[in-house]
This record gives sequence, C-alpha cells and structure tokens, in this order.
Amino acid sequence: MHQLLTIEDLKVYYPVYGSIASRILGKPTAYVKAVDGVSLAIGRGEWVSVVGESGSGKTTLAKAIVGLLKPTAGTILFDGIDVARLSRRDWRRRGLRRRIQLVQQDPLESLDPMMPVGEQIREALEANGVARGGEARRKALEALEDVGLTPPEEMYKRRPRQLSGGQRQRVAIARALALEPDLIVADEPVSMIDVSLRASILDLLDKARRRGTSVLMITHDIATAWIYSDRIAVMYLGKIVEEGSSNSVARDPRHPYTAALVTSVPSLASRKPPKWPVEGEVPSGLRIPGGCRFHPRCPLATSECKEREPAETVENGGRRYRCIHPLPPGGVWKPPRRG
Amino acid sequence: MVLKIDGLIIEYRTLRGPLKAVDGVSLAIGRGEWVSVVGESGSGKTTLALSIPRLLPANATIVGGTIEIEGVDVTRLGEDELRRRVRGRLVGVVFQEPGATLDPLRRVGDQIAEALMVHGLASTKEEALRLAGDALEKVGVPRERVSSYPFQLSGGQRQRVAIAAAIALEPKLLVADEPTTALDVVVQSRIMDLLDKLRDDMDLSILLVTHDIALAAERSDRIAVMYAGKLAEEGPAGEIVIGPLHPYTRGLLDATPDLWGERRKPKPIPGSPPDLRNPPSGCRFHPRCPLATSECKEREPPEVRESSGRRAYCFHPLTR
Repeated sequence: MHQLLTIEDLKVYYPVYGSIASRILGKPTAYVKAVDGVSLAIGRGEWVSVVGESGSGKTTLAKAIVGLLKPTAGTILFDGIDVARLSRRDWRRRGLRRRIQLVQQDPLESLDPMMPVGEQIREALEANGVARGGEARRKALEALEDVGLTPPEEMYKRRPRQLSGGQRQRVAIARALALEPDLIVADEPVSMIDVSLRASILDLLDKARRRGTSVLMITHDIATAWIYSDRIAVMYLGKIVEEGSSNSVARDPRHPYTAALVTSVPSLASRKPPKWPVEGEVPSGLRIPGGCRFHPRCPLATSECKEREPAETVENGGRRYRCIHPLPPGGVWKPPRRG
Repeated sequence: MVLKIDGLIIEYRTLRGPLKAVDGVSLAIGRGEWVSVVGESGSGKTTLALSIPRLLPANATIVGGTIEIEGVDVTRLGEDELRRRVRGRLVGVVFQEPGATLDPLRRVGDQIAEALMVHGLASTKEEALRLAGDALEKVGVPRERVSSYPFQLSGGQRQRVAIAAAIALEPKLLVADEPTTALDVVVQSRIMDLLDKLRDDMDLSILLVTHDIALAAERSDRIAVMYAGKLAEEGPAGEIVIGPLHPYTRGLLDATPDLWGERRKPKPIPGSPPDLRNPPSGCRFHPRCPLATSECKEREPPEVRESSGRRAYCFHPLTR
C-alpha cells in the first residue's frame, strides 16, 4: 500500500534540569524519553489507533506528527516530505498546516472563545487559501451542516461557550474537515464527551475516512479503537510494544501488556477472558526499566527480560511485537496464576 | 438496610435560576451490598452520592426526602453531629481526585492517625500511627508509606491511601464517586478488586458512582440508572444489562463499545441531555426516546415493578 505517513525510529526526549546550575548552563541532568524509537506507517484512507495509558508517550507522538514538537531523532515522512526537519515557515508554505489537522481532547484549547464558531471555520479556510469571501462563508456553513450542527446559519453565530461539549467537538471536527486534510490526528477526541454522544463524533471521523482521509487516533480506550480502526499500535513507556490489525491485537494479543489491557477493560459479554494479573503502574519516563521496559510488571517475566531489550518479531500478515515470551494464539484466555 | 434514601429532592441555586439535580429518588442498600449509580453528566449521580455524607456544595439544599444510614436520618443532623457521628464513622467517601481527601503537605500516616484520634479510636499517637499502618496494609500499600507525602505516591497508590483514610474508622458504607476515572484501566481493575475485597473483609456496603455501565455490571450487585435527576430504572446488575426495561438504559448499552462482545459500531442516543433549569415535561427522556408517545410528554411515567425487585419509570417499558 502506498503510505501517506511513515514514521521511522522517532525519538522525542524532554530535557530535565535537575538543578538551577543545569538550567542556567542549559545542560539537562536527564531526559524523559517520551517517545523512544517509534516506527509506524499509515496508508491513505486508513484508520490507525495508537493505544496507551498515561505516560505511554502517545500524546507526544501526536504532537510531533502535527509539528507542535521537534523530534530529537528519527524521521516523519508525510507524502514523501520529512516534516520533522521542516521549519515553521516551510510547514505553512508546503500546505502542511492544511493537509495535517489536529483534533484535540478539549476543543476549548483550539477554539477562540470570543469568535463565533462559523467565523473561525471561515477564517481557517481563508488562512489556508482554500476559499475566500462569500465562498468561504458558504463552505463554513456547509461544514457545520455536515457535522449535524443545524440550522447552520444559527450555529454559525454561536460562540464556543454557548455550545455543549459535544457540539464544540463537532465544531473542531467541522473546521478540520472543511480544510480537506489528508490526515487527521485525533487526540482522545471523545474522552470528554458523554457516552451517549460519543458514537456520533466518531462517525464523523469514520465518514471522512471513507472519503479517503487517513485518521490517526490517540486513545486510552482499546474497545473504541478496536471497533473503528484498521490497525492498532499499543504503546508502553515510549515504545510500540505491539502493532497489527485491530482484531488481532485487541482480541488475540501476543504481548502480555496488551493482554493486561484488553482483559482489564470492563465488558458486558458473557464470555470473556479472565483478567490478567498485572501489578503496579506505568513508571516515570525518567526511570525506564532496563531490558524489556514492561518486565517489572509482567507476570511472564524471566531473568532474560531484565537483561536484554526484546527485538521486534514480525509475523506473516504484518503483526509485530516486542516480547521474549509472546502469548501463543488464544493465550489471552489463559492468564498465568497470580504469583 | 444500611442506606435508605426516600423521595430525595436536591435543588441548586444558580445564577440562571434554581435547578433540581435530584428529583424524587429512592434507593436502598443492604449490608455488604454493592450498588452502582450509573449516569452521564447532569444525571444527578454525583449530587446524590455527595448528599449521603452531607458534603454538598453550599448552593445545594435538600428540599425533600430522607437519607437514613443505619436508621439515622442524616438530613436532620447539624454540621457538628455529621462530623462526629456520620462522616468517616457511618460513611466513608472516596472522590475521583484523591487530592480532594488528602492534604498535600502532610504525611499520609499523620492524616489517617489524626482522624482515628479525633474519633477516640486511638489514645496515643503511636497507637494511631500503628492503626494507620494497618489501614494502609488493608488497601495493599506497604505500611512504611505512613511517612510518605501524597506527591511521593503514584496515582493508583494515592487513591488506595484515600480509600484507607475512608475506611480507617470502619464505616458501614463506602461512597465512591468515579474513583477510577482518572486512572488507567489496568489500575482501575486492581482498585475495583480492592473494593471487592474490602466489602468481603469488612462486610462493607458500597455505593459506586460511575458513567461506565460495563464497569458497574462487572462489579455490582445492583445498578441504578439515572437520567436528568431521576431514576430511570433499578435492579439486579445482570438483569439490567441483559434485559433493560427503560429505553434510556437500552440506549446507553447500545452506545457502549464492548471489546468482548460483538464488533459493531456503537449507536448514539439522538439529541442531547436536557437543561435541568428547564426540564422537559412528562418523562424527561421523551425528547430523545424512540418509543415516546404523546402520553410521555404530558405525564410523569409510572413505576413498573417486577417480582425480582426491579423497577423502572416508563410508560412503554421494553420486554425481553
């Protein structure tokens, strides 16, 4: 498949200044390795979800892709352009500000609180040279109607505070879609939205995907990722520990961390695998365990896991994982006994 | 019954007029029973929970109904009596943010020990600290942590300490308001295991407030579904999720993705939750309900009761 986005060995480290002297000298005492060697590709019209808990580095990854953070190392090829190395000016000049759209968890962060929401869409269209004047206004109205904010003339005039959380997220998505992007990076797009309204927001992204827009969703919710995405990448402490087709990763994982994740998700099903016994929490990015970074919490860990970092195994069919003791097919149904 | 809420009505004064956050809710919890209150934002679930230990914000008033804990009607008690007899003693509380209970500037052991001494459960500081250590061990935190400050603990451990503080005085009832919403799903599962264990060990009754109906179904004996300040339905957890009576519960279930169920797109419930300052007439769910008739607009729905103790408030209850 022709890839739209290819990320290779991406690293994003945050410097930590442990003393005043280190801050003055500009010499960090340590680094938080938020993204620590991530490779991931997204095809055109494909929906890939990056799933992880807090501290996994998933939001840092999203920010690097949309150009809000400069990577420490690695490449981000977007349609053949290495966007990781571009200046701000080049981002704009090459139309990347339009072609890659970010939808954030809290739309209030990306919307101007004072400006009517329709005007914000119109302004984005003009600033990105998509349309101007009356045509921009007409397109903004269309965009509002497309996301179900009706009547559009009425909604156009509203300010963000006059809308509900769900409606604001619709505005953010309407603005992103109006720019006809190639890629939408959606960072926890529904985690602040009520359950009864989530599906309507996700369906908007799904509609865009069916029209050929690629979607990269960042989420902690593997059940939602499983339903909407083609592929899932599971991140733990800055690394992708497992990646593959949605169904294979979410329902038949190879990595014990994925197994812990999918069996911890509450489910109404009458037949579901027992919960995997995983203790503790994601450690700080400042103290990444040696060897496999999941080993201190892993119920399958052996001394080998402490000593060497597992290499990537790639299965036929493209699923890949990093684990010395991967689960056999169906292994998620047989958790080890609590030690 | 450890808890018996009857006809509870709670009103908030707001700048844009009064609002009934809880409007005529009755609910009971027996000894060692786990009841989850499920609802979305604006359903009144948190207001209901906070009214039990009488921890409502200053602009809220209980305007009707009773809340009996072990036979004591806490709606009639003054602040002094609530502090002495109710909070911590009869009912422990855990919030979404453990920071709401824990003082960031004091060692966690001192905080628990103080409560024990104030309530006369320990006579010396040494004894109180020893009991605080016991409480930490009960929640799976090493007793050495008595000398830690909250910031030195991980999010999950902080929530465990908050639980330890809530149960240190051995209350009969634990009210937990979205205690794991800020935590990761793996940690959430462990905290729920802990609540389950405490329930067994201490014969504790639990009232869990959550937006996650699947979590409620996995963990509780009974579920109460709230919508716009009213109870939509209530009954045994298994029955509610297999065969809901109320169309709102059905909608909530259909809107929830289920990793071990069928791989289908969740269905949204059309429309949006009502403005409680100006609630819909009749059944509050009628503007979003696929089964609504003119009757639903005009009159409050009747109570439908089943022999198993299930009840729903609906003109057109679903059949299985």
